[in-house]
Amino acid sequence: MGAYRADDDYDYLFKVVLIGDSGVGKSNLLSRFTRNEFSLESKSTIGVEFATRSIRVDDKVVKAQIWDTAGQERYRAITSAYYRGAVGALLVYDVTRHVTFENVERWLKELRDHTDANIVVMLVGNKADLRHLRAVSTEDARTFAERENTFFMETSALESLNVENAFTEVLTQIYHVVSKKALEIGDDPAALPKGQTINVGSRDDVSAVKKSGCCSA
Amino acid sequence: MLSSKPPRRKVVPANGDDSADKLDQLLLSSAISNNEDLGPFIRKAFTSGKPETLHHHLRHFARSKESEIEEVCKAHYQDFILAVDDLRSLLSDVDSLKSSLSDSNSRLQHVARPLLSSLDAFVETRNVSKNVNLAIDSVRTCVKLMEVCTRANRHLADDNFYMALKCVDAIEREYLDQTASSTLRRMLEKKIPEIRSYIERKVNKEFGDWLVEIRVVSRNLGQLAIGQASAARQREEDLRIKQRQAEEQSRLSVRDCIYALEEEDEDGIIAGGIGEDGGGAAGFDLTSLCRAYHIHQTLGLEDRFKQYYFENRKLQLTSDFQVSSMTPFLESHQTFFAQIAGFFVVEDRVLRAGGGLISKMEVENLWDIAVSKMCSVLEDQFSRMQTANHLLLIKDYVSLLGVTLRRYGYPIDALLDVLSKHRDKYHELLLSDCRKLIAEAVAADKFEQMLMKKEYEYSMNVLSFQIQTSDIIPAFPYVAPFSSTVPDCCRIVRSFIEDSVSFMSYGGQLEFYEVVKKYLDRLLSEVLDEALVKLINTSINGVSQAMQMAANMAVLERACDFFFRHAAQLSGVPLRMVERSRRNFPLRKARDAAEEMLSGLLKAKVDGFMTLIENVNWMGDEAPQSGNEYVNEVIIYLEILVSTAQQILPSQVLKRVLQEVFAHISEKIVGTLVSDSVKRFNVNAITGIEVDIRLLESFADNQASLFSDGDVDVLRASLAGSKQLINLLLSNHPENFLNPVIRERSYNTLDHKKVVIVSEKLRDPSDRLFGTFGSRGARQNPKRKSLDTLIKRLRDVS
Repeated sequence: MGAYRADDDYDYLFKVVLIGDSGVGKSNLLSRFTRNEFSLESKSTIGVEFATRSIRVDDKVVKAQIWDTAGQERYRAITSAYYRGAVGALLVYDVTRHVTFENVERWLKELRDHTDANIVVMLVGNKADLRHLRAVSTEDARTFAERENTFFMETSALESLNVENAFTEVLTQIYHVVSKKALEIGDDPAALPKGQTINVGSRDDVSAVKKSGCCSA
Repeated sequence: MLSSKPPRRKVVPANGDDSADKLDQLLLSSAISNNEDLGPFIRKAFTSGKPETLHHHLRHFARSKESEIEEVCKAHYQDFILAVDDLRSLLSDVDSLKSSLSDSNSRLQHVARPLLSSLDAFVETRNVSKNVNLAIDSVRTCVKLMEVCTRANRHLADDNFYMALKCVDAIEREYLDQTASSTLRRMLEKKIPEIRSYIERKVNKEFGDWLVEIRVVSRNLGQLAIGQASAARQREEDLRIKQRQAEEQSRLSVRDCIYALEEEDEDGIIAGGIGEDGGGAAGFDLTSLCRAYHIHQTLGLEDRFKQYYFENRKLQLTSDFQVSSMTPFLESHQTFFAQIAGFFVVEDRVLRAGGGLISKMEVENLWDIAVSKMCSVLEDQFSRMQTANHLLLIKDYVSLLGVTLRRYGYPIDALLDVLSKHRDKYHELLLSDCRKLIAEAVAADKFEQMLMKKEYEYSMNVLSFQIQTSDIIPAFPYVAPFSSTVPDCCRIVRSFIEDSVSFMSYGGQLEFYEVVKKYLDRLLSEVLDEALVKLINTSINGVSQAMQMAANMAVLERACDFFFRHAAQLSGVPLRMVERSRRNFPLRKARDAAEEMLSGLLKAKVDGFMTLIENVNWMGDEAPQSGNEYVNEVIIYLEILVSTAQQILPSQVLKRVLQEVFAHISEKIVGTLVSDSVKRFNVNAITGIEVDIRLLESFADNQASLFSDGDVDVLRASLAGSKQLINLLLSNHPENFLNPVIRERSYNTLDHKKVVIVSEKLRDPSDRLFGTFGSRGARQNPKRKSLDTLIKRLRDVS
């Protein structure tokens, strides 16, 4: 194990956004990942919240800055600012409410309208613990993810199922894309200053990584 | 208690001394009697300074008592001596006894010492035995406890949770207090709740799995149940079709046949319905659920589990209500309704077999929620549907759903109300579809008689709509009197009837024939009639096409009778009731339009020939003996027309058309005489016209064989106008026109103005002859005089 590092010391800072309909569990995914907390109260997020957590990828410290937003219509005015600089996104739907899955296509379009084409996107089916109330089959969601060229996982913020995996997978994929881009630039230290957000490379890189690294719940 | 102090002398008053002394004596006497303490009295004597008196009294008392004692001692001296002697003797005996006892004790001690040792050993051994027994009991209890624990563990391992709970309860009730080992007791007190929690979690997990499984089972179950209802309905339909066929054969008398009901095969029906034991694949398993409920009852958590069950099932039902907007409802509706149907089949089973897990009121609450939601979905979906077929598909499935769930005791009136409410919309869509189809069929008509080469074509285009004119199958190839519009429209109308009956069937309304008839009337009188009228008014080219349309209308009139009979049959109404209620021909406008079109075209054609009337020699010297040219042309044309028309037009239609044509010819003749193109005419010309009219009447007589009623006068009556005018002009007494009785009888069709105009044109041949002899005063012609009188009078009337 490497030497101890301070919390504000990191090699990469990645902005990741959480999007999806209201009530699908975005905030609980965030709190479970960053603070290992879950709240049964169903308070709606007001505006924007964000939290950070650092993980280690390939002996590098990756700090995730995760933005959580309200899924309701009246907070849509913030979309441009919200998406700016995002290199990853978790597109969340609720497996017990089919309409939230139907709206994924609209969220995906909005995401791609406001972000770089190389953004790493993971489709997340939350509330997978409610097996007896499932309304979206795993196969349907996986098929959609493959068609739309995104990653896919089913999670349960309540039971901590796959929450860690979903975030670390996205961050790892972002890191791989950035690393691949860095290799193309060369080992010039000036090109990769510490603490700055790195834009990912061309779309082909992301697609190649996605095709080989696609995983499911 | 003599005091060492010297006594003090006190002088007491003489008077008080006696009373005080008496009082003291009384008190002292009382104290002595009561055995009270005399101390206070003694101390008082000394404090008062009178001890000598007390001493004196006491010594005196003592001496008196001693005297008494001496007296008693003297009297009893002898007795005393004897007593002492007895005591001495007794003492000796006692010493002797004492020695004897001591010897016995020594001997007893000697003999008992071995026994005592044995006793000690016995007591010690008994204590040891008691302790060992206690230990053995304790160990035995522990062994039993361990056995029960082992049994509990085995039941847990085998997932026999009820037995495990029984063992745990037994441990708690029978062994916990008996267990001597505090370590063991602490272990039990810790493990028993843990085991209960473990069992509860395990059972809840199984229940969760059951909830997941039951959703898939519910959908299949619902589809199966609805499929069974559909199969039963199909069997009913097949039976009804057989009965209808038998009835039709009997009515048509095509062939005699004896109709017998075939026994239905009961093996294909699952006994006891879906979900019952013995239903094989149709059954479903409540074992996990009943087990979970039983375990929770045993754990004392019955109410909590019941609430948990109800809330989760309600959530599942709410989840089942999700209607995807990605999939058209037309594709997803079967799954949607089957899922809900299956849910309630399961709940009915749980209600009956679940031992009180769910109450009837709770199931009814769930059902009310479901019905409300299904009605809401149906209202929404129906309001957005624009195809009749789609409404019919949904309606059929909903009615099957209703039949299925009614069998389980669920009220379905609200669902049927939704179907009834959208009856009008369905029929409007049907009418709209039929309007398009009829427009297409009508537009495709070539106005040619249909040629049928084979019997099945005849059967398909003629017999199936009962528009044949004879029960004898004709020779083939067969040329039908109608064009393709007729069977095409008949098929569309029949489809409408069947679609209407399909929607109304099993919709909760048993007597729906009136509704079907109402919509059928609308289809025929609004859609078909309008389409045909439009066709007739816009697309007819020539007499032959008009004739074909008139023929078509005649056939369609027979078809309409079939339509209403067919609707009645499909609606389950006896035919005799339908035939009893007569109705108007729904396509009357089209029929009238067709006949008017045909008549109009024929009149135009006849007008072409009637222009030849201009060639008549109005002042000829002789009357033409074989009629004028124009009438011969007209008669030739009409003969050709009738020979063609009688092949396809019914006699009634042909008669009506000829009436129109004859009336028109008559009007043309009168019109010509009235018009300015004829300035004057003589009797010879009028006689010629009379011959023309007689030729037309002769033609009419020749058509008598065409009319079943042999009514030729109708055609003759059509020529009345011109005939009466000619008769008047040829009469020797034309002034008779002025007589109301004669006029009404012989000249009722004539108009006064026309009579004046025409009469003035009549020129007598003698006028010209007399003109050469102007100077001579000749005799006045009596007819001329009468005619002049008539003209004068009519002019005055004007």
